[in-house]
Amino acid sequence: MNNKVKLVRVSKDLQQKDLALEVGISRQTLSLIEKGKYNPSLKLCVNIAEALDSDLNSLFWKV
Amino acid sequence: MGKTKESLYIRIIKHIYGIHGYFDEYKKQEVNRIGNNAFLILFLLFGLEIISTSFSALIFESSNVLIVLMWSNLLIFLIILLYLAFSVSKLKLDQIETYDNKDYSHQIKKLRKKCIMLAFNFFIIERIVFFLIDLLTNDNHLTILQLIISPKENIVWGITSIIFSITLYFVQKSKIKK
Repeated sequence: MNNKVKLVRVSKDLQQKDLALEVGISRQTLSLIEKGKYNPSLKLCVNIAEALDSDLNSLFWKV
Repeated sequence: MGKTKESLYIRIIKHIYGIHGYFDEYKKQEVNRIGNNAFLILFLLFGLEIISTSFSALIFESSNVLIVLMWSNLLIFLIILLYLAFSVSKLKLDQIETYDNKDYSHQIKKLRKKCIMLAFNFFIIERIVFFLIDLLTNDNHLTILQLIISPKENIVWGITSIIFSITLYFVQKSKIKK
C-alpha cells in the first residue's frame, strides 16, 4: 500500500526513530510501513496520523 | 504514546522468540504466523513419533524404544527451535534497536551480562541432561556422585559453555543496530 508517511515525516524534520518512539512501534515496522511492505491496522494509521499532525486522507488515501 | 508495561505473557513470548524492543502489531502478526507453522511441524512430527513408537514397542525391547523416544523428542525440540530461530532471524525480528551511543554501550553491557548468565545456564542444563543419560546407560557402574563430579565431563562442558556464550555474544552483537 503506497502512502505519504515518509514524505510528511521528512517535511516535519522528524527522524524515523523519533516517530517510531512517539507512535510506540519499532523502527523496523515504521520502515516497512513507509516502503508499503506492511499494511498497518486502522488504529496504527490513526496513531501515525496523530503523531504527524496529519489525517488519514492525506497520509493513506489515494496516494 | 510511551512504552506501556508488558504483560507476563508478552514477556514470555518475547523471551522465547528472542524479540527485542517494541512488540508491535507487525511483530505480533509475524510471531503468530511462525507459531502456527511451528505447531503444524510439531503436530506432524509427534504424530509420526507416536505411530512409530507404538509399532516399535511391539517388536523391540521397551528400554531400547524408550531411549530412541527420548532422543527423537530431543531432535523434534531442536528442529522446532531451529525453525523459530531461522524465521525470526530472516524477518529481523531479533534486531536490537538503539537510539544513541549511550544506549548502544548500555545494550552491549547488558549483552555481556546475559551471555555470562547463559554460559552458566547452558553448563547446568547440559550437565543435568547428560547426567541423566549417563545414569541410564551406566555401563561402568559408577556411583551418582562419581557421575556428577566427573572432571572430564565438567571440563568438556565448561569449555563448551564458554565457546557457546562467546559465539552467542558475537552473533547478538551483530544484531544491535545504531
